[in-house]
Amino acid sequence: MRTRLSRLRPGSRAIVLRTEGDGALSHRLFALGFVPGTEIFCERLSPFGSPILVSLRGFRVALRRGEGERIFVETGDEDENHSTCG
Amino acid sequence: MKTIALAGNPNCGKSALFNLLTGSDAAVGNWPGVTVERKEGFSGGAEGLRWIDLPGVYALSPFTPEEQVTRRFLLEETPDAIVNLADASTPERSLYLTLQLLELDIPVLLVWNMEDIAAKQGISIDKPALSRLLGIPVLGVSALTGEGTKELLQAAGKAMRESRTGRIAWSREALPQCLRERAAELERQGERHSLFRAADALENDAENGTYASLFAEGRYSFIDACTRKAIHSPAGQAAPPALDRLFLSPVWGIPLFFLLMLLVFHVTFGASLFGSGVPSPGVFLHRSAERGLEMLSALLFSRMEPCFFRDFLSEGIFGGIGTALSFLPQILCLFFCMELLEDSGCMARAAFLLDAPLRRLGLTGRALLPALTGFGCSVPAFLSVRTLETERSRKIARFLIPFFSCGAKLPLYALLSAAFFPRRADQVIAGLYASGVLAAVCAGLFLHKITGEKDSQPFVMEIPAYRLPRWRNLRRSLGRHCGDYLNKAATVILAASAAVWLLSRITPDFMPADGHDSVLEYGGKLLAPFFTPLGFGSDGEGWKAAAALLSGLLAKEAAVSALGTLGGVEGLFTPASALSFLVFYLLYPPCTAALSVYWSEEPSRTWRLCAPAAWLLTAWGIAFAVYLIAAKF
Repeated sequence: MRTRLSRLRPGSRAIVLRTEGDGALSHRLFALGFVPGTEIFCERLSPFGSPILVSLRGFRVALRRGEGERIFVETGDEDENHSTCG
Repeated sequence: MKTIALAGNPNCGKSALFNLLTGSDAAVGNWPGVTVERKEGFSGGAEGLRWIDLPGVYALSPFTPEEQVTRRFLLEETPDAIVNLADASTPERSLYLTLQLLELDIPVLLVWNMEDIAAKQGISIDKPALSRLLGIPVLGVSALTGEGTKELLQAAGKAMRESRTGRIAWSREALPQCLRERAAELERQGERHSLFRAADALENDAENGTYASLFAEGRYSFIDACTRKAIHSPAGQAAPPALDRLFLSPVWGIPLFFLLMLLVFHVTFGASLFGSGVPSPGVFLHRSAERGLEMLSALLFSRMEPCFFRDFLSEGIFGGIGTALSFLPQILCLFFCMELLEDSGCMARAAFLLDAPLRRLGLTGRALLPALTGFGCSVPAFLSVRTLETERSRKIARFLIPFFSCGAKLPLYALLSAAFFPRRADQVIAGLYASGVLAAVCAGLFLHKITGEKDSQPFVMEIPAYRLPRWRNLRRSLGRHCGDYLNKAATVILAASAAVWLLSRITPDFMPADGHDSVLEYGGKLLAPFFTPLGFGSDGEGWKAAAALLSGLLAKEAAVSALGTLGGVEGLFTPASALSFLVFYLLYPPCTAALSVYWSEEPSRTWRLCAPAAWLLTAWGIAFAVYLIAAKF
């Protein structure tokens, strides 16, 4: 199922599809390894729902929901609608 | 003399290695972004080397101030070699920067640190294989034990003698044509680092973002290939540390953090440790230091004939510095606790937990480090504001820092609270610290509102692994604080307390003042009307309080020295006015050293002019309110 990093449930895994956005932030995300094909693991949310604690490539990074919105990912589990269809 | 730059990701141990090689005492912490300015040091040996410790970066992009420092140094001052220190437990991310450094026309050595930690996680690096893949020397070092530094120095010496032209290791054929052309053109113009500059221009092209992602993907696919060939790491993600179930717990995390902070204050200021009647380590240290200094004073001055000169030495010089010095051990106790929390990685967890509340102030979790540094000293705190993401948040953070009560203010808190609230000293002090934080929160909410811009700040922060605090780091950090304090005591505080003493002994027409009509008294009385509504400054001796506040502008400790020089605090305040005096002292503008750093860090003239006035007004307003309320009890 295709979704955004910010919508992942804690404890779920996904693969990065693309990272959208401009300038400073996308460069930082690229440098940290949020490039297509990278496996990420959504570890937990902060008590306030944001930031999100994500682990990838052997380290952990906290990012806000807004940054998570820019990262499109593919999860292993089926979209609920799709699974009922077929 | 040859220059070697130390470059690497944040928190990979550059400063620790730098200290090891040069015998310096740069700050080391377990938080990304402890180094914000480049530091310089020298290593001995047959041919001396100049080492530059650069701020940690993930890439050479020009976006945050500390990234700019690193980038500018490498491009413009072109060192003879770069030692690229890399954390062996995060090899992939570390190699991203390596690939960018390889584009520069500078010899690069890749040096893995913390291989022992990596080995525990099952990660091992085949250095010869990686060296073949990257075309540069690859070594290992332990910044902790110093293992491998000899080999590092040898390899660096060899690399420096060779020249190197930059290359794009991650792509031999797929380079865009325009990149080759641009690089060739720059080279014809005699520009150094032509390849890096050409690639950088494409990558940071604001119009066309595709190259940025293209390059990033290219680098990481090369890194993935390197990883397959030369790095062995266990499949899948490592399990999160068990401690995080507690520290990052949605229920217990935040209360636990505040409990830890309370514990720190209790251990430093508590007159009775957990109600047992035994003084806390901080209080015990202070009392011992005080007793020692009293004995020293008696030893030095009891045999001298009473005269003007003896009084000057014993009251003006020794009394002033002594009062400030007697608090040094207690301040070190506070720093020790804070350092423990930072070194272990607890503070970075707190940044994760407190990011959401900080967002309401226009800040991010990253602002926690400048704020907590502010509890030590505002000067490094103003500097560490540079690690924040946007100029707007840096502006807000810089304004709030003086409200985080610096260590230099502590002696006066301790003196007054012990004199006027003997049973509740630690509660009064904790309350002062809390009011400072509260003032910062209110000011932050206000500034966030008036500076507009509702769009959220970006926040991306690495959460480091837990680390056992290292005694060597703690000792070094305490040594540095201790040195700074002694330095200040021997200069500013000495001068201020001598001046205060002299000014309190002469009249405006240069006659000896017999306790009355001194220059200081005139000055203090001039300011008195300003403080009268706050409950001090008006009656008989009140001018002494105003004089203390005035000398506190030179250095915060000078206020307590001044009170010491002028004959103590007894009878100077009522409990209510002591409280309002403390609150005013907590919030009024920082010392001249801190102010000058504020002015050099703050780019906007309006802010430079308005901030000190705003601090003064805030201090007065809140102290006034506190006095009105406290006087009712």
